[in-house]
Amino acid sequence: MAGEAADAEEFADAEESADAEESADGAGRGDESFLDGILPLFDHTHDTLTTGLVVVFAAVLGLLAGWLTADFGVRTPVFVVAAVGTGYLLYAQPTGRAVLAAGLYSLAALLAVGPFLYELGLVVNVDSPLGHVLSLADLVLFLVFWTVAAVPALVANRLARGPFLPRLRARLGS
Amino acid sequence: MVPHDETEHYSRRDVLRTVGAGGLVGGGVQFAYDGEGDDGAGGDYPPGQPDRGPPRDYEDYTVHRVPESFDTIQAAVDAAGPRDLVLVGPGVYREAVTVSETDRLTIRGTSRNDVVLDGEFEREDAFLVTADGVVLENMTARHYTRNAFFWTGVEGYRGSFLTAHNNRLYGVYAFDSVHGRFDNSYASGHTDSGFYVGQCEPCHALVENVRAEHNAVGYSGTNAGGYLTVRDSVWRNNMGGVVPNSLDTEANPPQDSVRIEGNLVESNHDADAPDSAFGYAAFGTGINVAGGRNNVVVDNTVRDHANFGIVAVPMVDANLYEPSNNRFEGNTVSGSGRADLALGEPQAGGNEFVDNEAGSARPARLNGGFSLLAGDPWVTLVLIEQFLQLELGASPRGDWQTAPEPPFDELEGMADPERAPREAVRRNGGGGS
Repeated sequence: MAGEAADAEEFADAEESADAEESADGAGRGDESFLDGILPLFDHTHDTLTTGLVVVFAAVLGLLAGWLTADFGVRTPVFVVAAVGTGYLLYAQPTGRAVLAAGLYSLAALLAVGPFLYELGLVVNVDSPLGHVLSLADLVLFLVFWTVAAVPALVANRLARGPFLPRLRARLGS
Repeated sequence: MVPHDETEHYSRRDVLRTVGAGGLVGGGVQFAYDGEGDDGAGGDYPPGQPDRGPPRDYEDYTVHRVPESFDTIQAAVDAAGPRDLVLVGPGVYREAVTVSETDRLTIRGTSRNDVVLDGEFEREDAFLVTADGVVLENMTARHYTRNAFFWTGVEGYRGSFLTAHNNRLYGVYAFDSVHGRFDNSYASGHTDSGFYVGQCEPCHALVENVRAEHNAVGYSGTNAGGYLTVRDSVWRNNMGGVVPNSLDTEANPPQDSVRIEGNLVESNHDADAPDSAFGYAAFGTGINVAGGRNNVVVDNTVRDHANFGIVAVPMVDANLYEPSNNRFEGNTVSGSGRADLALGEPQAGGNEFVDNEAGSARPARLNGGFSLLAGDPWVTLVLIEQFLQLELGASPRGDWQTAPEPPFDELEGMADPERAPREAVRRNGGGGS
């Protein structure tokens, strides 16, 4: 029972915190940056820390996407597209917490598609691809990548939606 | 040259058998070649065997003819003395020959394609040689359950104008042996490698003008290096092409200092090639330095590989062997599925890719310029996944017994099979090629 109360309290704190950040961000909407004056992409701005977080995530995700697709000779364009694209999507998030969660979700998604890209790199270069990609070793590869991907995904989920147990219990109606 | 009647040397041969046995015991002793090293890359010995003069003719020898004077090759070998020539006429010889007591013997076929030793999928080795300085020339060996031409623990060996096909393990194979040469030979359909030089440092050996197809690996050199050159040869349609490698299962790891030069390495991603031990781990790679160091890979043409054209990766056995101080220079690499040039992580540094003509690399700008990564773990991941698949017995592979036969009409024999026998390799001076 004590554990349940703690989880519920933590969930409430998280929501309050998110609301507070959103409110703070909303308050900044009137102070348009120089960039927004020229190219108004967003209806809000973020503080320096959050903007830095966006930049770091964009760079990391761009590099990761480029690394995963290097077998196809598209490392540089993929880096640019992924960095700019994820930078835009992340900056569009309303709060720092949401930026962090979206960044981690993106990271997890890239890791999850990693084994597909790995297999694709061989499939397009051999005559009979099924013998190369449908083996226990390939299954292990997928499990490893997906297990690693699950870590940022779970952290992102926790950040975005609060503690797991209260939500699970709410779902179960207990 | 003074060929003799084959009966007149029995007593001398008996004496020399004793000497030969002594040589066998001392087979592991290595002595320095007095030629100059060419391009040391930091190892204990330079990579690359300096050119030696052509092997010198023996001047005093006896010719033992098979089948004219002996029904079997083994009978002729047993009757021969050092420096003698066993000359084998056309026919299919269903036997396994052991040369253990007669040093400096030459066994030669009169016709490369028509002198055939057949193991009938029952016998182990066509030739097992443990005597020093033995030369095998101008014949074909097929269907043995181990190896076709196998020298082990010897000082001095040469295999020229040999064809090895559809044998279970190795085609032309030197183990724990020094001062040797393979040339003008062909190997296909082996579950390990077509050509193998293993466990020697320094090797004082040369592999040149050979061709390997449809093997698990074209050239494998486990823990072999130092005065060792693999050059001017064709490595095609194997699972993996040229693979110097480090393993704890043989003495003196890691592999150190081989020079790989001027080879044509292409399309080594044959999933139908036979494989038992190592091939699929190197699948789709042209020149693959697996845990080696101080190697020099220069002026090769490497094209059309499913994974990597030229790659250096760590090798995991009982120990981890990280590639280090390898130099890849002046190679032309194209048509690789993942990357023309690649360096896996972990690696121990000093690996240089210089002035290669290549379209892609992992990590980026490996061939010059700033790179975020020294090595790329993706490269290692590829080969680990393939090794795991091999270990789980789930990798594609063909059957060594039914692998494609050689293109016999393309395989030239010796110009003059009747010529005098010659020493295996020239060891004391002698410039030129």
